Amino acid sequence: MTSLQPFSLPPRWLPLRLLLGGITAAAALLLFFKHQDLNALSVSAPGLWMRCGSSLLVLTVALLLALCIGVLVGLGARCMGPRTEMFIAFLGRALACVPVVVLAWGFISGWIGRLGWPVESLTPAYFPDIQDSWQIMLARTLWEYLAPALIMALPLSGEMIHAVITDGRAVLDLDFSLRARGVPKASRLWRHHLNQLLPLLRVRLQGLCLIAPVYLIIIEDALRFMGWGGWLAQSIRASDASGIALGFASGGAMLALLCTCLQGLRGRLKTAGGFVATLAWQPWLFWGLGMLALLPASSLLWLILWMAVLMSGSAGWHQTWNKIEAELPIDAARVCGASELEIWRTHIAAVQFRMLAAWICSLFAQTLLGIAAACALLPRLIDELNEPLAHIYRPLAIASVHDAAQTLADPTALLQSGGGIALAALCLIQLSRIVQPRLF
Amino acid sequence: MSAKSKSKSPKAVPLLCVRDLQIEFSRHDAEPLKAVKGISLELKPGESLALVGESGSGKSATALSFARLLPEPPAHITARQMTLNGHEILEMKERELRAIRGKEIAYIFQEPTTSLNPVLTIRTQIAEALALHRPDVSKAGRDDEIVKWLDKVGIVDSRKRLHAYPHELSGGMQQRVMIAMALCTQPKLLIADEPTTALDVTIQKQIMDLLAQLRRDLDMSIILITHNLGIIRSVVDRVAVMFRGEIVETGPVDEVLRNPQHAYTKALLACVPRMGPKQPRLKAIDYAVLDA
Repeated sequence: MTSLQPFSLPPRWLPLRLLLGGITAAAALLLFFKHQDLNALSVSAPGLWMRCGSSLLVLTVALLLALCIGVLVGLGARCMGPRTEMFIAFLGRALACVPVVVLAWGFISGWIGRLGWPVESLTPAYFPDIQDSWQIMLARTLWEYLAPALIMALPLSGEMIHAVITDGRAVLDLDFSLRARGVPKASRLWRHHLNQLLPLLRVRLQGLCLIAPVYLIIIEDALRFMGWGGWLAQSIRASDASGIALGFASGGAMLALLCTCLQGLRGRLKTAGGFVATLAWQPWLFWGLGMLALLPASSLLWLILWMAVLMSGSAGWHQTWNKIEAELPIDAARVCGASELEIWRTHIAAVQFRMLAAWICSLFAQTLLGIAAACALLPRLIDELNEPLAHIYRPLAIASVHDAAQTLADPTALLQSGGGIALAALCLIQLSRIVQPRLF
Repeated sequence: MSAKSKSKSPKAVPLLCVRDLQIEFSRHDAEPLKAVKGISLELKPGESLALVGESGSGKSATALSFARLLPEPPAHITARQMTLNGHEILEMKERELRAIRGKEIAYIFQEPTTSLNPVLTIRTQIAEALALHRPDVSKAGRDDEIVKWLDKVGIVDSRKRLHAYPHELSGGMQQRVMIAMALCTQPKLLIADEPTTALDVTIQKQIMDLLAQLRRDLDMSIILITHNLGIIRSVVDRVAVMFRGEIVETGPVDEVLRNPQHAYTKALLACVPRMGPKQPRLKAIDYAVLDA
């Protein structure tokens, strides 16, 4: 969902901030719900760190896959001309708008329902110890991790394709001068253009890390993967405050580790200062879902989700507005003696209004997808939606064996619902892109 | 033998020969735009030429067409003859063109910041040019070769600057790096497309002096594109004045500057500010007179 927001620079010491943010959120949650039995934390998560390791591996593989697919498709599209490039960026955005629960259950129903393969084919086989050679162990591990990583890579690839193409327009176009030096096309693309893109893509990947815990929880829950996400999905469903708090803290640690590793990617960009960037660069949607699980059912609950979405995108919009405002041609009006009110009315108001409209559209798009994630994990929340919305979101709530069997037998309702949500989010995001003022 | 005397040898085979060059740009909503309307010029080895004219007169389009750098379409280039060392440029395939770009014809553009990759060190970028066009320079010897060229273009502490990124250099230094990158492949023809426009006046002088000196030292041909008649005298032998896609006057630089024949050349010269007491007011070009 980062493609639904403008690009934003992260704050300094992002990994440390993520770690501290996770611990602070966990502590705040425990304090808020007056949960002081800290011993419960250790017993509620047997083997949590092993699970974290598994999820981290899935996430790393998914991010690397998404990066590779995004770069291959994005740069390939660049060779095909601007129209094809725009179309492929649109497809990337569309892929990123499909709710993850639809991708996960769509994959399972395709595997079992359409291809007709047994459920056991999705779970790795276990042999007696004597036959457990390293090759079998490797194959089992690969098989076990491949399905969640592949599903996870799908929406992330959509995001990366969009990022490679849109960020590619933001970097310096050296094509002409490189052609004049006789540099071959492949080198112009893979050496010069990609090298310029890498610092931006690193920031994009770090942005994806913030949304990844939500994807991880939904995918691991759907695939019954024994990872951090699967465990946290159970805690969320059980409204277990200590489990969720532990999830916040361990999630913060995982994200910190991932972002530290991503710092290794080539190139550096300046960091953003100010409290907006500090606040925005935290996994707000993930925290919002945790909060939703613990609060009593009420239609006001959606405000929490909306706030989470608002917070997560605030840095991008704030930084973009600052850039636009700095480039507005208001000095000439000031020199002519126009009052601040006149300047605002003539030069700023229209741009500000367009910016606000774009932000609202983007916010709605993200909220639609956030509700999809919340309904997938907490089916009880569907009752708090009005009837038409509840009708759309109900197929996404696959909590019981009965729901799962029904979806596997006929995934039409799930796909229709997911397609509808994706289409609505995509329309809103396109509208946001149309009305958003461009930098001069 | 000096570059000037060599260029005047009547037996010298032309390095670049252009006859009746026409360049059109197709447009969606209008007739094709004729940017260059049948110009002819010839450049002998070691000779230097200035293409002078106002913005939009077609001088850059002309220079870019020598290495077929204009995107085709929208550009459409035709000529009775356009040869480089006797090879017809318009018949060359992309692979052949790539071989001459940077190697036979090197370009220096107006704005070095838009030509240098900001995320690669200058060593990497010059080494790329060497790897592409100078197979005689071994991988191990590249650093020495780069330092040699950086020294030649007047970059002090060149070995220390090898690992500098473009943003760590001033505009003048960046342009020198661009010149080093263009010259390290030992091209036969250097095309400098307004190389000093983006630089301040003192740096402009340094860069023009550097080009003049390099031309003397390396004995190569130069085409200098500029709208400023005041800076060409020290660098070039001949000048061709372009107006609305045509060459309206051509000749030895001293002669054209001293005794301009065409009204447009006179008007251009009248725009050049001069030092000293009681100078006449600068005149704007009167296009009504030129059209008449």
